Amino acid sequence: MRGFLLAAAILGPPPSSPQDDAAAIAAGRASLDRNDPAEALRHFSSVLARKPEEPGALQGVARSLLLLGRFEEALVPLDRYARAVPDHAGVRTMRGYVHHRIGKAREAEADLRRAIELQPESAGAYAVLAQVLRGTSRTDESVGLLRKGIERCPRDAEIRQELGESLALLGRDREAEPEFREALALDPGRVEARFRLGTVLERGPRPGEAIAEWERVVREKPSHRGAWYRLARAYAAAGRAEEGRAALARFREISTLEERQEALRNRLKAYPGDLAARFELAEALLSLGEPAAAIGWLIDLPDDPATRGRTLALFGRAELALRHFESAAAILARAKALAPEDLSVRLDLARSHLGARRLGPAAEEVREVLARSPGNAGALALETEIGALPATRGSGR
Amino acid sequence: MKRLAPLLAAGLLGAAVYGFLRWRRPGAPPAPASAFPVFEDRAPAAGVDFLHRNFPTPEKYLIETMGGGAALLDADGDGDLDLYLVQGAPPPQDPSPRPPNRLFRNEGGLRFRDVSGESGAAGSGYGQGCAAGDADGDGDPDLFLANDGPDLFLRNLGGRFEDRTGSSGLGDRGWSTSATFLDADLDGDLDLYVARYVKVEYATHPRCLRAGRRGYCHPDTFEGLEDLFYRNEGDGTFVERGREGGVALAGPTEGKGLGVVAGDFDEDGLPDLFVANDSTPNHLYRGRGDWTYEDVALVAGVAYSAAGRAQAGMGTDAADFDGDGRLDLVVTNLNQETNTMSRNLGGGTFEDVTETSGLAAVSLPWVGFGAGFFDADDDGALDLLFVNGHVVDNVEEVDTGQTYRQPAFLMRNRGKGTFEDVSARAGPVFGKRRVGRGAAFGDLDDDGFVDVVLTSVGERVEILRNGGVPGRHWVSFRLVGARSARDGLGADLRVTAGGRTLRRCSKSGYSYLCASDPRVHVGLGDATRVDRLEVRWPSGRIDRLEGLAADRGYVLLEGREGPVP
Repeated sequence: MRGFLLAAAILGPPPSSPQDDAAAIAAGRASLDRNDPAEALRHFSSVLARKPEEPGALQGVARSLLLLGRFEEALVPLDRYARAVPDHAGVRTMRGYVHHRIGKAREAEADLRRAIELQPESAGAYAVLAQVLRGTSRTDESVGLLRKGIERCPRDAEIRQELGESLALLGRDREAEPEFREALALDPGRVEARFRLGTVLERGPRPGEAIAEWERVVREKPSHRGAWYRLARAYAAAGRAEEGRAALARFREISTLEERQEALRNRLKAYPGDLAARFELAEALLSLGEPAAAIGWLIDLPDDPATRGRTLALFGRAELALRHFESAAAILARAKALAPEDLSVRLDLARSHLGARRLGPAAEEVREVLARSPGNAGALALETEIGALPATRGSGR
Repeated sequence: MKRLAPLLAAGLLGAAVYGFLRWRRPGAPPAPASAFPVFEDRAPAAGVDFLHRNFPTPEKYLIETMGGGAALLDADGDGDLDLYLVQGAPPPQDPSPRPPNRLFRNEGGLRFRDVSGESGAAGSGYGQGCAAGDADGDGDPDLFLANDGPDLFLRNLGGRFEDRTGSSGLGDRGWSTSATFLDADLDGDLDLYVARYVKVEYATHPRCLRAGRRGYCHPDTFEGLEDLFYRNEGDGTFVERGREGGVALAGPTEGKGLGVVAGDFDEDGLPDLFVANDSTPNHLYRGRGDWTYEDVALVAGVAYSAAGRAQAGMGTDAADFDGDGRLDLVVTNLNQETNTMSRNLGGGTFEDVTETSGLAAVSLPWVGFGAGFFDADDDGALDLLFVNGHVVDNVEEVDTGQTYRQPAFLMRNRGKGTFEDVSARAGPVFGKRRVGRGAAFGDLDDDGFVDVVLTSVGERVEILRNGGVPGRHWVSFRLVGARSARDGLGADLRVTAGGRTLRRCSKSGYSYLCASDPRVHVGLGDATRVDRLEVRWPSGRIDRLEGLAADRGYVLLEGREGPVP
């Protein structure tokens, strides 16, 4: 619980967080629906600060932490919830997933099987249990389980995708292809299903169709390393040399960032206290366009005066990337107070004001930057952008 | 001529092809296609009592979990394979004596005698891998020992080894792992490629946590060490030319080599090299013939997994498993990554066939190390063995789906480039769990079926004797180069028998930390003779022979074509 409470201490509840517990939980859930776990965490944490055992907030904190990739910490609220309500299928499923992610296969299997017993329509439990089975030499068994899951939850895209995955892993491409297609029919936004469909199609061999799927993957998720890699090779094989080179260059660019990020993650597993690695990782994630994940690595930093400025600057940049302009502006103003000469903080603050349509404060920050660094390209670009906008006041979000 | 002098002395040059008697079961009916041999551990009965010692400490030095290698070589020149085993060492703060590496002489009948004391091959440092090859061209295989600490070069003087590290220039410090001899510049002597792992010293070894407990550090914690590439100067000395050759890549996201195999992947007559790296992209070095190499792994499609991710490459092998005449690749990796099987499509590209080959689901849960293609059932299709063992000795505490000791797997080649897991019917040795690391392949009892030596961390070595399949036929070739390097490493053989042509290569260094039988073993299935044999020597010379009887071994002398005796 240390992590998210510290985060809450640094950031406090979101400016719009209701004081009423039910309303705060509803706000947290809305944040999760918007795929904004960092803000959700702050809403739920504000409730737990008042009522430490509030089940809705415990579940919300767990989901938020899970989405932020803080699996070990997510176990704490889940265990607490499960002690109070042992037979809640949703919590069992979530805890099974967390156990799976942290390598506790036996515990994961027990939780997930229980979730299915309690609620045979627990689609997520089938999907995660299939992953557990594959990881413990039971891929064949996972196929049977998923087919059973489809009987119970015929409209669930995740189960279809997992079935496709199990079948592809077994080299049963002809059976895998329709499962990936069905998953995409149910939920066209599943980029991993689309990526894997491309893989199966390429082996078909239907390279033209594979390329079309991978091109769509990178349109939907431009940082998808695997799709760029496969595209580079497929273009080259199809004689589309120039496109192949461009895809390879993009792959290399993403790989460099992701490999560094993976190395930092591994380093942090070994040295959780390595603050330099944590900051670098957060910056790498921001460069990869993953601000929520970046926040995940910042939330449990101790509130140390020596690092507070950098922490706030990174938090602020992540909030800005999430288009939380009000929150970003508030955090970056604190960062600026600690490091008035940091021009990148001032520029991020200007962007936050701009996003919130506060043109005056935005222009003021830009002027300050240009006074210190007259040719600053970022400031000049912002100046132009501000000048092109009609002067209005309003709040972001 | 200098190279052939010992052969002349041995009276071998009189015959172009020299047959030596091997085991045979006359009159055995052809075996059903699905017949597969059973393997049995014969190490204790064979008198091989080697216990690997890894000297585990609370400090969790990474070296403790890497294991030690084995070499199968005819050290004493009597025609059969002897066995050399590499040992670990205590850390500097431990005053215990370092146990010696050991050499076991093959006495025939799968009995071995420990000749370590008289052999001069005790080794030093924390032993890792070994490479065997006739580096000085005098007719017997020499040994290179890859250590954490100074490497060693042991020159074989007729069955006794002499430490020539100092004069050879092969005593580099740093953490060496797998190594292979090859004639990189095709000048008729063997050069040496040494894969190296990470930069770390005992005194400054980091302390790492895994799920809050002290554990072995992830390789990302360290910088990779550049590999070494030694050119044989032909006068008993070697000069390191890795940087010049373009293979000295190092840094946080480079290097970390654990496995290496040489082969002519693009069939241009020049040797290439594949290096399996741990958590960094693999290398496929395409030889340009002028001692420079180009890393083409990314373009070829073997640097990363099919999803574009660097994997934890450990062991590797290259062979034509799908029978199309091109060298394919296998790499063992960490659990949840799958081992990777890549089919050579020609034109410098490979296709990842991990899933369609049948390897993915089988290998997904395990941490793979030693691996090799070999024709376990002599049916003419190369099967695949890989050994497993986790790297974290307390993994059960942090990951309840994993175990430190893990089973080995044997995959039968169905003949079309797809494999089936036959471990359950290949003997209880495959159900047994061990902290598997090395796997060396060779016909130790000369019965026509390839046996396997397994090494494990902190455990006894195992000799998996191949029980064979009655009715299956084979041939074996020992190569003797004239213009090519003396032991013919790198030669390509095309064997036509029973209506099909099989490509097999002369190689010794592959798998993980190990050196295997340099003889070329070819399973023939039901065919009782080789109709045609073509040998492409590294020198460029092609020798052709016809009508070789099955179920025996041959010595092939470069440039001496002629009728079968």
